[in-house]
Amino acid sequence: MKPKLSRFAIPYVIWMALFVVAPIVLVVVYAFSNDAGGFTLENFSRMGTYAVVFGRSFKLALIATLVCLLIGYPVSYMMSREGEKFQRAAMVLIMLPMWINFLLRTYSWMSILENNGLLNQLFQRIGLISLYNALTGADLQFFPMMNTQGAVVLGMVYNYLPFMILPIYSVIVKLDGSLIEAARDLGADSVNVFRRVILPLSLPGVLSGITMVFVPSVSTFAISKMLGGGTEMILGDLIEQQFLGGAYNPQLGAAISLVMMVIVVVCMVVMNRFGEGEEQAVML
Amino acid sequence: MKRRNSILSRVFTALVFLFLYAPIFLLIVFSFNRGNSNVVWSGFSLDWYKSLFQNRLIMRSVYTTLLVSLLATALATVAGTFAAIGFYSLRRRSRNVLNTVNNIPMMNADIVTGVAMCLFFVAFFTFWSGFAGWFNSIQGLIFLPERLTLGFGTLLIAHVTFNIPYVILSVGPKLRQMDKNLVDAAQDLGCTWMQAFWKVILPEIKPGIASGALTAFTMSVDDFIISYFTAGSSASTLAMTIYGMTKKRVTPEINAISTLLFVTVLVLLVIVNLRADHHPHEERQTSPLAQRVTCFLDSPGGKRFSRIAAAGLTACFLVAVVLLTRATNAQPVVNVCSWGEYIDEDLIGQFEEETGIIVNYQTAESNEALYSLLKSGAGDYDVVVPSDYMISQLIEEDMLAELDYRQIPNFSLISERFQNLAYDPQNKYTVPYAWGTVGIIYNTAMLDEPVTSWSAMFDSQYAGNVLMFRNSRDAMATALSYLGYSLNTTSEDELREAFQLLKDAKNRGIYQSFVMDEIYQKMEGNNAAIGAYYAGDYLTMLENNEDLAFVVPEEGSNWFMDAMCVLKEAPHYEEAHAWMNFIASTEANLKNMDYIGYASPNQEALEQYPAYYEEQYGEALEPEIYEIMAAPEETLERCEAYLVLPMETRKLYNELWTELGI
Repeated sequence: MKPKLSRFAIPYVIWMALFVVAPIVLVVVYAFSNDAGGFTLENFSRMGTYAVVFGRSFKLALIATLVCLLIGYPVSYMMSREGEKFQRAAMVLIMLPMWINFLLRTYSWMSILENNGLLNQLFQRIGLISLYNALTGADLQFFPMMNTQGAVVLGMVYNYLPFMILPIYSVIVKLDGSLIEAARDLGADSVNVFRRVILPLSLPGVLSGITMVFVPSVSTFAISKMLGGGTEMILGDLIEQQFLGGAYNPQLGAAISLVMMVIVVVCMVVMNRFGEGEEQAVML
Repeated sequence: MKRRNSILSRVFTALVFLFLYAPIFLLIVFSFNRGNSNVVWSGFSLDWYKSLFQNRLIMRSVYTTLLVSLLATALATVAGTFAAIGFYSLRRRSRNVLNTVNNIPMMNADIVTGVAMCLFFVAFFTFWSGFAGWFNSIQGLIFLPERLTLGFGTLLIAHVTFNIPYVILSVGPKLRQMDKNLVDAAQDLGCTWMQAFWKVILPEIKPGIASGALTAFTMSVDDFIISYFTAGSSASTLAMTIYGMTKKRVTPEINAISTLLFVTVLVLLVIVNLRADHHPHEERQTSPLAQRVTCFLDSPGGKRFSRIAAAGLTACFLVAVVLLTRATNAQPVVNVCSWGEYIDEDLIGQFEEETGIIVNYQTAESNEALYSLLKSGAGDYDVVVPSDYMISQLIEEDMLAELDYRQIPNFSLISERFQNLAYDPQNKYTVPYAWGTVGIIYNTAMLDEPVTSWSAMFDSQYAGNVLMFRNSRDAMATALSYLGYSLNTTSEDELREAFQLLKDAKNRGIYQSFVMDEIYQKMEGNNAAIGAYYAGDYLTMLENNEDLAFVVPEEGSNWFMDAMCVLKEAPHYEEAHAWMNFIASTEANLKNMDYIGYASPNQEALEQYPAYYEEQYGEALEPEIYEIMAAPEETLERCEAYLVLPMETRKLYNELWTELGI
């Protein structure tokens, strides 16, 4: 029966070859060709110019990932310790924002963070700004929040936090309760139970959470455009600019995409070392 | 063993949820706003919900979104389930390889997936037209269409492709949890493998399938980037429509439709959860997330639900197929690409009613972006509305079709001074759409003195308060004008000097941000004091913020003409002419002029506009406003039109522009 069941995979393997592998091969071909179609390495030699952008993207994406982890882990952990009903409601609440398009949610942040936005108006009302001015001797009309790297990180954290919470939670909630009981019976206090049992066992969830936040953060362009004001360009912007933006150069765009893809592959290889468990955690 | 959380940690969780929901709450509140701003509250009203249902553009994109998401989910769920079973019964080694490939679309950056698929489709179409041509030439029985384009089909393929991995990842673990001996036992007892599949495997993995389908559907609805690259010119999802608007101003209609979607999903989920509560099930503290989201499916009520859901899904699928085949059936269409808020949308409806031709209307961000769209093959339009210099470039690269002016009788209404312009000397390719000037918009309440010169764009006293163009040509033009150079200079020294001026100003923190249509929100909301932009858009902003003023700086500036052109080998050549003729009419020009604030090239419309304004609004049009709209001769004398630049200079522009961004 085995050979028969495995035949089920054949259509999808063909599909993948066509629509997943072939397009990526095309990207590779583009990356190594010039406008005339000949072979060249020029696209990569120019990559050095963009080192700043690479650096900035990785910095912002790393910060965003770290913040997501610092918020997401405790939230997942606490959720797993609440009652059944609460957990179900919380899961729904975490999924639900995805039903409002992320562009719109990010747009909404713009009106919150603007110089004359809701937060600054609130600070003005409660006298926070005049208090700050009195304390530091500054002369601020508002706290500059928009168009900063901070705003971009906030946008990333906001949009991708669910991708951190979901895998971590799914792993923690599945932990075998008897392991924890055993640890307790053997004399571990709660700190030790967490450090020696729960944390290591939840690591696959953490790892897939990290990838799922890091990858889209590095490559986003809408968020940085909207909240960063175009003054803090990141990789996604650079790629979009080469394909659909102001500087049409698909070969260079493909080269940058390729470099980014290599990073993703490295991430995946690292993840795969943690075996099959990872796969379940990626779910959702 | 369960320990409850402390108050502190509950407060923390509550704050996280507040963080997640604050912007959504805001969005919902402003869907009930009377005004059209997303910042200023001007009273409660339900108007936006009413106008939502009359807005064809939005309703059509909602329809496309739901259709593509439903179809893609249905297809991906079936395909993914079979694939997962196939993977499961493979040997470990080949399974790992396939799983890695399977993870690619999910783990790869969306933008790379989108770009890769776009390149692939375009390459395939080129190959196909060659093949079909050959195939048709050797036999006469079957006729293959030679020309394929991006559209609903490619959008659907893209969605199915990125959805399947989610299904596999939900179903796979369920299969592994299943006792392998079950299948063997079933077969020992006489089941064929088909029966084993239906009676043993399927019931075991059902929750995994359901959660996979749910995830796939959610991802489909939320996706923007991949759709953006694969939808082509004839299909727009809601996300794409929104993206077109976030660049300008999101109309509260979008808030309204989002609120409706949000509430619908919320209600559905609440009902489902309440039902699950009525049927408390055995201990499931340790069930995985996938199970948790769909654990209602296991409960007795849920079983019924899942049957209903399955029936519903099948019904949706069939309806979708029927609608799809009907939609693709021969209704004449025309694919138009223009700029954001650059048309009175009533005109689209009016045209559709008069002619029965459906208008697929999309927008590009800038001339450069439009050029990229056309070049990459992602934009397969009939009519585009580029500006003068881009038109020359498109003509130069042989991308435009010659027009048949006999089909555009309204062309004779175009003022003589706007015919045969430098970009199209013999007027073979274009029908002028609108014209205007570039200048500086400033907020009189935030500045002590009026702005008169481009120096304001580089002045340290305005640091952090200035908005600069996010397109190379216009941004460089501000610097070139200030330095007194020609806007069409090809001198590398002059261009580098202008670039240095911009770069230096950027480093001094003068620019709050680089914007295109985002300038609306920023200037209207008093978030920036100075911004360089187009005259017509200033007039639209003025409606929402009376403190704004506009000046064409003393050093001179750019005046531009946007004109409608038809792309070479446009599939809907006749319909394109019908559209252009309709838009060139005096009536349409008056409406457009009133809505977009740019001057019309139609002589009658230009003359009649003040009277039209008075008739519409019951008050006289102020002459100053009319002069900003249709700049008088003495202003135009200071201004220069852009000409197409030689290849070398364009390359330099691109390099400098990328460098400025870094």
